[in-house]
Amino acid sequence: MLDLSDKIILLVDDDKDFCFLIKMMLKKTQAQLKFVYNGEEAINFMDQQVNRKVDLILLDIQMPLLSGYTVIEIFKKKFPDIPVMAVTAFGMIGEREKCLKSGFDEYLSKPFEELNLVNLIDRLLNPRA
Amino acid sequence: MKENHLMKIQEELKESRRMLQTLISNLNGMVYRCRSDRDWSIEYISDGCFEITGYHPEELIDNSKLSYNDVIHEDDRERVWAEVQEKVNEDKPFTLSYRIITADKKVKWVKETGVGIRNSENNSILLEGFISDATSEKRNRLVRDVVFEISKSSYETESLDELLSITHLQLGKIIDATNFFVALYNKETDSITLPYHVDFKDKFASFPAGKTMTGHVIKTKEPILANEKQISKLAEEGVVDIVGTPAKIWLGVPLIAEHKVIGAIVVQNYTDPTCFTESDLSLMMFVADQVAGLIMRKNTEDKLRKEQAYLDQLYQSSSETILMIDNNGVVKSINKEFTRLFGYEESEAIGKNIDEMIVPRYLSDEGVRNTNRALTNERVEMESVRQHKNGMLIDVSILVTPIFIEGGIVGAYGIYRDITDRKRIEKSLIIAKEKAEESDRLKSAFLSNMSHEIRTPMNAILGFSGLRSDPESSEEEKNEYIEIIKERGNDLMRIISDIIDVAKIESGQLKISIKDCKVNRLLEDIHTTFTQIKQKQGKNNVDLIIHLEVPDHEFTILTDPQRLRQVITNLVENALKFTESGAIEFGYAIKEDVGIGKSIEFFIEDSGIGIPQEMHAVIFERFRQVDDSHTRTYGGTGLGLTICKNLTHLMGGELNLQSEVGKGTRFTITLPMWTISSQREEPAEDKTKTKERDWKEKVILIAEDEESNYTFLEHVLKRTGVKLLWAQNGMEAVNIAQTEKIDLILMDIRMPGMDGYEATEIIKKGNKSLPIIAQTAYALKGEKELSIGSGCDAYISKPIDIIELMGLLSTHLK
Repeated sequence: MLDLSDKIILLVDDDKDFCFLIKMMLKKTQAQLKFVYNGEEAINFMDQQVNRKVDLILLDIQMPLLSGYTVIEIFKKKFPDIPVMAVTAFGMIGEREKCLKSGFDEYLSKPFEELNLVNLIDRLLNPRA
Repeated sequence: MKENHLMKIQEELKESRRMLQTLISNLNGMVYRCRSDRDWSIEYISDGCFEITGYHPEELIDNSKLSYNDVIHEDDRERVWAEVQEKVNEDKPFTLSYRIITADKKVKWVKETGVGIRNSENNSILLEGFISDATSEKRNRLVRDVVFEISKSSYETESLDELLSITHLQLGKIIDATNFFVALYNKETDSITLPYHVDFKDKFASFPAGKTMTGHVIKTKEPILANEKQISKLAEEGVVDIVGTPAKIWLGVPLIAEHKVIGAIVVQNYTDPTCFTESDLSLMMFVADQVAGLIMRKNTEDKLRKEQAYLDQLYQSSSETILMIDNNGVVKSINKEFTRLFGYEESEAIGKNIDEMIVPRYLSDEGVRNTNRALTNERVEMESVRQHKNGMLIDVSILVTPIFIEGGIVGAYGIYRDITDRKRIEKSLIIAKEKAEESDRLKSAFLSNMSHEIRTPMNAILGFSGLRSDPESSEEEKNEYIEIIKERGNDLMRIISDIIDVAKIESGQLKISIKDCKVNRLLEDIHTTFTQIKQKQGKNNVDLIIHLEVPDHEFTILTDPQRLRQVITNLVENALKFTESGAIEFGYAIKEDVGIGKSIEFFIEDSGIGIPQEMHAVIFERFRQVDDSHTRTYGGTGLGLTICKNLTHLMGGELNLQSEVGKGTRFTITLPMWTISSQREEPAEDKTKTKERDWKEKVILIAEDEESNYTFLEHVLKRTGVKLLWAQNGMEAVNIAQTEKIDLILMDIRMPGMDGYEATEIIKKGNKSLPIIAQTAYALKGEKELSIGSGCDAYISKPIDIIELMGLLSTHLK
């Protein structure tokens, strides 16, 4: 089992059920999860992280006020080293390409399997040579 | 001495008489003395008498053979008498001209000057004077007159025939033209035709030119004046053959025009060989000149007339519809096709103003503009609508071009082509194209939206379902998962219903079904439902208040109760979602506005977060949230308000919103106040029901731009079995009235484009007996007068009272 006990993952999504789902899905990895519910909160949260480093961000695309695309632009400028994964219900053709082009490191389309999520996180946090 | 003297005097007298005699004899005329009686009885006349009259003096003196009055031309006798008597009575000398008939029966003009001498003894009067030959002077004047008359008539008369006849008559004044003909030469067939021929002996219409005298003149281009002997000589020489009765004298001159001989004119005499002289020949040559010129001109004119006739025929038989107007827009001519297309006969059209004749009233500005453009040298090419005499509207392509004559615009041609069929096809193609584009656009927006909206709850449903089978999950967790799955399942269901509703609205398949709707019950029901939901959500700070204006629990309107419930539920749900504290109030009020009539206004008001002003306009647009990038402010499909707005429209109402950020939002649904009857008394309704109306054979055309109004009437009239046709504007109503067999029209007055008044006028023009009932807006002054004035048989005010409507229909559906 993937052990992420030393990792901090930030989840940005306005759907609280979804946040709960992720929390339950990643429970066994022991990753430390932080939740914010829109883009503005996400930016504020990241700005306040002085000592503690966020290892991974899971970012929804459709959110109130600021879309995931706007947020990723800011993150990639300010925190170019932190991997960001798009988690979106836009499952249309081209969406994946659009995400990767916009600076996301990975793309996960809702709905997804638990294993899928875990594997992608593993890949982003433990890149193999 | 005395005798000598006498003798001398006698000698002298004799000598002076001799001298006088010599003088008189040498005078170019005759000296006379006569009595002033009706015979002009001659006492003395000089020898010159023979020269002038052909009679010897002895024959005239004392009227021995004939009187001088007999010599005077019959027609001039009265005039001579009167003129001489008048001068003599005034003791004045006289001068006059008149004609005499000479001994050889020729007419001769003479000039006479004389004076009356009174005998003091018996008071008798003697006339003395001098008469001279005035022919040449007279003739010159006559020739001038004749030449003038001939050339004048050549301009004034239409037919060659008439012209030749006038020429003949004029010619007869100066020479003997008893036998006269005009010959026209056809070189190809070497034949001669006689367009004009007067002859005492012979009648010809045409003959071969050959060696006739006329042919000879034509071929030699030389005039001939020949007597019997000279003709015979020419015949003997083989130059000519004698055809017809031989003349005593024959005078023919060629007709030469543009250096070519086209024929000849001929006079001849069968009795008098001295009839024509060399001077007559030169006169004939002059006349020939005139006649030739005139024939040429008439030929040119004939040619022009023929060309004109060809053009006229082309114009008349053209398959294009053509008319011609003058500078004032007044119709000068139309062709047959015009009559066929627009119904106006030539006699009706000419003199009418084009814009008043075929331009429908609602396009009158365009008509006037076109005419003005064409008359100021602009070619107008366009497609528009014009009107048949019977009122029918026709799609036409129009070409108007100015007509120039000598550089100035004198009017314009209008060419019309019936493009009704093409227009119909074009219209259906455009509609099909728009539909295809719209559905294409919708399809992608729809797919994108559906994908996202379905994936979101599905994600939760599938995710938690997976977690639920995880053996490590606790019972408590599992129950929580199931709750979420159930909720998200419900969300999904709502989304699917919304999507289906939108799909139906977009494809026009969503039909409203108008029924009795007990308003108070409906609202109370919604109130109960949301009170429960509110409690469940724990929104204890929010009050849910209901307002019912009409206390009667059975208060009923006609609308679609199911859809009304859907709209209000949706709006209350929204209100609850965005309100954390304060109150949500909903209910209705009955409104009455001038010009609109009674309406019922539902409202849903909250004290929630409000909607920013800039969002007010777009909030009702479908998929707006999706279209508007990926920022979604609130949950849900973003379809709810679109559906509410559309449903309200379908029910004949309006959905509006007032909102201020932070203060709250108020939605209003305004529906037409349709009721069974204002009193809603049961017996009244029974009356409409029991009085069985069977109109299965009848067809009613409903002209109405609002779908809900039509649906309302459809609902009301369903039980009568009547067949309904629906026109969505005035133009469509006119078209349907002209093509379908209908028994009655219910005509809405306010419609886009052509309104009900104009449509009624047009339809009535074509079918006077077709009953038309106007639906007019309540309380607008003058609407009744206007509708009756435009030809409507009756009117009914909106909102329509069903009993009144049924009554009117019974009266007019016969």
